[in-house]
Amino acid sequence: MDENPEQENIHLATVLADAKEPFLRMRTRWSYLESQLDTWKDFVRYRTAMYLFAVLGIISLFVAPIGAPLLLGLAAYYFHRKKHAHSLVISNRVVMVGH
Amino acid sequence: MKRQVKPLPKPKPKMTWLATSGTARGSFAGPINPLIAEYVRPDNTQQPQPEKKDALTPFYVPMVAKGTMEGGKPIHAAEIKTRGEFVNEAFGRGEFHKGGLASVYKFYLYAWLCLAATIILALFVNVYAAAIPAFLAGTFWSEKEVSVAWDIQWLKGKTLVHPA
Repeated sequence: MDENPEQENIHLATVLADAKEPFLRMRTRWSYLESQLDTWKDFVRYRTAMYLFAVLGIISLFVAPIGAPLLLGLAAYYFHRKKHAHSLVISNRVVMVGH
Repeated sequence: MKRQVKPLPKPKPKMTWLATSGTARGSFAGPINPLIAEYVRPDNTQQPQPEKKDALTPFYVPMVAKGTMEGGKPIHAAEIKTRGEFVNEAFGRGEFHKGGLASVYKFYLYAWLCLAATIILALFVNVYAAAIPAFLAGTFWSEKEVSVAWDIQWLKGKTLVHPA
């Protein structure tokens, strides 16, 4: 019986599970970074495109207004692409960094 | 008679001038492009072993860690953090002498720009003025090399566990 009722009564048990695929994978830190690198580069490219089209769209409002919806629309499109690529890399997925 | 199975010949890596091909291994000083620098594991020619499949190795963690790290931080053999934290720390901010993968990209570009500026200044302006970008080219190149060593090659020997 519990001598200290405030303390949780935690026991350990071993269960044999038939795991068809491993759910944790161990690799090197560089290998993991490398897998994220292409998505990060895409994020940088989409961010550059977003700024470029935003500036061109604002300029076109005064110079050639007919092109403004297209350019500003592209800026919005790349804003969402950038946001998605950023969320893939800078995510809250947990990793265990070994030493 | 046992049939002798000869091993397949190893494909020879094709070297380009700036070591820019995917199979380029680099020279004594290392490849000029650090981002494709591969860790070349030496062949075991003295005692060849049959190739083993990857095994699921246990992740050993010490149970008792007495003491603290600098700043009072606890010693953790394995740090549990998010992918974002790990990637942000690994990329860094691209600051001088601070490290990070961003430093590799940035100072690699800066070194080549300074080299171009050196040549242009030496040929068209003043050869002594070209000493300034020449010095900076060397500084940035060495900063890139150190960042490659600590932020790429060193990470190839460190473990990380992630959900598949």
